[in-house]
Amino acid sequence: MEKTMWLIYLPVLLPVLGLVLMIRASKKYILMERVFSITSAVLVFIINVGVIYWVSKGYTVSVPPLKVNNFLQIHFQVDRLGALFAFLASLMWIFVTVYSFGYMRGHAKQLRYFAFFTVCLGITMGIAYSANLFTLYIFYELLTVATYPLVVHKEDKKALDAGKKYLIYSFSGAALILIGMILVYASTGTLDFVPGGGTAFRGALPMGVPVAAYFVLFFVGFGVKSALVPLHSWLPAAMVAPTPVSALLHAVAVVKAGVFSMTRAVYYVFGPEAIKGFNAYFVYIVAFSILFGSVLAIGQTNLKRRLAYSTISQLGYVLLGVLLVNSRGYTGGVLHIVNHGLIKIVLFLCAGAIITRTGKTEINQLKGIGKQMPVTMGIFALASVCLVGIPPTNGFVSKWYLSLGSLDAGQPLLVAVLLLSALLTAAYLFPIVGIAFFTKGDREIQGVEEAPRSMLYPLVALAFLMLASGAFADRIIDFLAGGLEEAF
Amino acid sequence: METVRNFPVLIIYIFFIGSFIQPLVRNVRISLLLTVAISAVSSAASAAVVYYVRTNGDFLFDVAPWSAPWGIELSIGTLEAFVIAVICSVGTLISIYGIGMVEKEIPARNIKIYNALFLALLGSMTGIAATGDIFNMYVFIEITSITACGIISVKDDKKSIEATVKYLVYSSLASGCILLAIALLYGITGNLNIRYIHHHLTEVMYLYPRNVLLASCLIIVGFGLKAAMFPLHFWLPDAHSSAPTTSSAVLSALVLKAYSVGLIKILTGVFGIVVMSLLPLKTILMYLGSGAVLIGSLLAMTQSRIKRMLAYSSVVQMGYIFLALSLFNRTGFTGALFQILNHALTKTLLFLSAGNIKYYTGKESIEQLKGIGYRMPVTMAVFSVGALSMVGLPMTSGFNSKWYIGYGAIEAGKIGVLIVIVISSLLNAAYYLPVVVSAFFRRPSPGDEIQQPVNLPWFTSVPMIVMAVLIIVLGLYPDPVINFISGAAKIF
Repeated sequence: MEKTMWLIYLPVLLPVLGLVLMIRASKKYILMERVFSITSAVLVFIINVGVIYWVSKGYTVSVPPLKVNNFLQIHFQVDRLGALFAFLASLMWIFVTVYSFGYMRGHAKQLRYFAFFTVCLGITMGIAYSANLFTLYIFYELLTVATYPLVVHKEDKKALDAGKKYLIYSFSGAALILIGMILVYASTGTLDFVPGGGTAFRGALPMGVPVAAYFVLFFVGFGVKSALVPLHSWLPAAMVAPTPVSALLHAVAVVKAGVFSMTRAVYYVFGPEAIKGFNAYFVYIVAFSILFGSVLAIGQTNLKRRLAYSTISQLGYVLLGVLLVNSRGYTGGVLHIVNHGLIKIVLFLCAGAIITRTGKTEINQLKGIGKQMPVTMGIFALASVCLVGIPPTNGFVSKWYLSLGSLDAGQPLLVAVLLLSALLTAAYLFPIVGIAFFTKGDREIQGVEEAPRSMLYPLVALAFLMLASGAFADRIIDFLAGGLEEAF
Repeated sequence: METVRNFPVLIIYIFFIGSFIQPLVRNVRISLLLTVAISAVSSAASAAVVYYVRTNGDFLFDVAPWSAPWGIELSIGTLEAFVIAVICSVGTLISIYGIGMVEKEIPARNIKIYNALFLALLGSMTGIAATGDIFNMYVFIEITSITACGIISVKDDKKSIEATVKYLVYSSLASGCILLAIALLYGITGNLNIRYIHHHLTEVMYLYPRNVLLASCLIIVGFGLKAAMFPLHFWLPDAHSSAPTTSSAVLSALVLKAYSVGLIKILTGVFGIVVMSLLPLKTILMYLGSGAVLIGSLLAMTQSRIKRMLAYSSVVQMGYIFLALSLFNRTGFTGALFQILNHALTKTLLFLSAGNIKYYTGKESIEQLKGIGYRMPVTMAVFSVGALSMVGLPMTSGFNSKWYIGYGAIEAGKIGVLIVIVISSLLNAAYYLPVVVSAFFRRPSPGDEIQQPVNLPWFTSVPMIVMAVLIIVLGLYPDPVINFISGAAKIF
C-alpha cells in the first residue's frame, strides 16, 4: 500500500533551509546556530516517528517523483529498511547535537561546524528515503562533500591530508557507482529499487558481461564508504575530526550509508536470486575484512583509532549478513546496523568526554581514569560488553542471527570467524576498561572530573537506548520481518 | 510571428552596427552600457528565435533577394537557435560584468576599441552558427579570429601581445586549412550552400574519394586547431590566460564553442551520416577526444596559476564535446550540445571569479589562495559551484552532460569511452577541489590574516550569481533544455 506524504521532503530540505537562516541569524544573535541545529534535528526526528508509524502499519510512504531528464528521476519513498535507518540516524543526531554543544565549546568556526553538521542530517535522510539508484547516488556524493568540512575542521596539515584521502577514496568509489548505474540502466531500463531486484538481471545481459562483473562495481563502490578492507584506510585517518563527528559520521551516517546502500544494491537492484550465484566469493572478502579489522584494532595505541578499526571489523558483520542473502542473515545484518550504531556512538562519545576533560588520546595514558570519571568509563565498559556480544546484550542478538544465517547458507566456517572476531573484540576493548579501573593513575589524572552535563546526559541516554535495543530486539525483528517476503 | 524569421540576420546586424558606432561614443561608461544594451536586445531576439523554432520547426532565410544556390541563406534549426541563444545570453552576462571590470584592466584609450571588437566577435559567432553557406561561414570565421586576437591584445602589455601574435599565426594557419577544404568541396560539387553540397556530395563522392578524404582531414585540422582540439591546443593556455578577464571568458566559453558548432554543422550538414560512416572521422575524434580529456587534465594539474589551469580545463571540456560527437548517436549528440551550454556557463563563471580574485587581492597562483574564501565569500562560493559542476557532481549541470555522454557511449557499445569520462572527471576533481579547499579550509599565510570581506558592486556579483543559479537549475531540471536540443539530434 502506498501513502503519499509530502512531509517527507521536510527532513531532506529542512536542514538546508535551516542553514540559510542559520547563517543570516547568527550574525545578529549568539548561539543561533545551536538553536537551529537542535530544532531541525528534533523536527526531523518527529517526522520520522510519523513515518515509521505508517510504515509499521504496512504502508510505503512516498512522494511523486521529480523528473530530472528523460532517464532520471529524483524520487523519495520510504519502506521498512529506509524508515529504520532514518529513525535510527535522526534519533542519534539529537543526542550528538546536544553533546556537540559541550564538546565544541571554545572551538573555532562553530558556525561552519554546526551548519555542515545539520546539512549532513538532511543528506543522510535523503539516502534513507531514496527510491531509486540515481537519488541514492546524488546523496551519496553530496554526503562526501558535506562531511569534508567536518573532517578537516581543525585545518592543520594532518586534518587536510586526512581530508584529501577521504575525498580521493570517496570520489573514486562514487565513480564506480556511476559506471555501474549507467550499465544497470542500459541493461534493465530502470534504476528504481524493486524489492527482489530488477527482473532483467535474471536473464542475459547485453555485451556478454556477467552479472558478477556489474556487482563488483557496486561492491567496490559502496565498499569504500563501508570501509571494507582493503578500501578502509580513509576511516582511521578521518579520526582527526572532532569526536562528535567521528562518532556520528564514522559510526552512523557515512559508514552506515555505505552498508545501507550495499543492502539496497543487493536486495533492490540485483535481487537475491542474481546474487546467490556468486555471493560466496564476496562473503569471504567480507570475512577477511572482519578479522583483519579486529587484528589491526589490537595494534592501535590511540583510543579513537582503535575504535575506528573496530568499526571496520563490525561493518563487516553487516555486510556479511547482507551478502549471505537469506532471511536470517538479512535480519542479523540490518539489526547490526542498529546495534553497532548505538554501541559505537556510545564508545566514541566516551572517548570524546575523556578528550575534553583530560586531552588524553592514547590508551596507556588512561590509567586510573575510571575512578575519576566513573559514569563515563562505566558506560564504556557496558558498551564493550555489548560489542563483544555477551548475552543478553543487543550485540549478542545480531550475532546470533548472523550465525544462524551462516549455517543456513551452509557456511559453518563463518560461525568460527564470528566467534574468533568476538574474542578479538574482547581483546581490544577489555584492556582499556582494565587500564581505566584497575591501575593507579598518576597525579595528572587524579584531578580530573566527570564530563560536563551537556555531554554526560546524551551519553547516559544513548547507553539506555543501547540496552533497550537488546531488550526489545524482537520488536525490531518483527518490524523488519514485515518487509522480508517482498525482498526475497 | 513571421517577422521572427528575420531575427537571426537582425541579430548579426545589430551586433555589427553596435560595433561600428562604438568609436562615435564619447563617454567610456556609455560605451560599456551600449554594449550591454545591444547584447541584451540580441538575447531577447534570440529567445524569440528559440520560441519560433520550437513551435514552427526549422526554417531557411534568404539574406539577399536571390534564393539558395546563388544567394546566401541562413538555415535556422534547433542547433542553430540554441547556439545563438547561448552566445547572446552568455555574452550579455559577460558584458554586464564588464561594466565593472573592463575599466580596471584595459587602458582607457582602448576601451572603445575593446567594446567594438567584443560586439563584432559576438556578431560573427552568431554568423558562424546561423549561416547555411560554407563560404559565408569562412568569412565569419575570419572575423571571429581577428576580433578574438584583438580582444586579447587590447590589454597592451608585452605578454598579451606575444600571446596574440602566436594565436594569430595558428589561427591563420587553421583558416587556410578550412579555406582549402572549402575549395576542394566547391571543386567537386560546384556549390557553396551546405544543403546543395550535401546533395551533390552523395552523388560525386565515389568519383573523387581522395578529394573528400583530403577535405575532411583539412576540416578536422582547421577546426581542431581553432577549437583547441588536443593535440592542437598548444596556443590556447597563453592566449586565454594572458587576456583580460572578460576576454578570457568570451574566448573560452564562446569562441571555442562557435568553432565547434561550425565543425558540427559541416560534419552533419555537409558530410551527413552516410559520408561520415565511410570516413574514419569518428575514430579520429574519439581518440583525440580521449587524449584531450585525459592528458588535458594531467596538464591542468601541473599548473600553478589559476587562469592557466582554467585554460587547460577548457581543452578538457572541449574534449568532452569531441568525444560526444564521435559517438554519433542521439544521446551522445544531445550530450555534446548540453555540454556546449554547460561549459559556456561554467567556464565563464570560473574565469570571472578568477578575474575578481586577481583584481581585488592581486593573487594569481593557487598556492596564494589560502583562506581567501572568507575575504571574498561570494566569489569563492560561486567558484565552488562552478568547480563542482566541472567535476560533474550530481545536481550541477556538469553531471547531466556527463550522464548523456556516458550513456551515449554505452548505447554506441563503447564502454571504454565511459571509463575515460569517469576517470577524467576524477582528474578534474584533482585540480579543481584543491582550489576550493585552500580557499575555505587552509589558514591564510602570515600577513594575510586580518582582511575585511570585499564588497562587490552589483554588476559584478549579479551576473556571477545568475550563472551559479543557472548551473544548479540545469543540474536539477535540465528537461526543457534537453527536450529542445534533442530535436537537433533527430538527424541520427
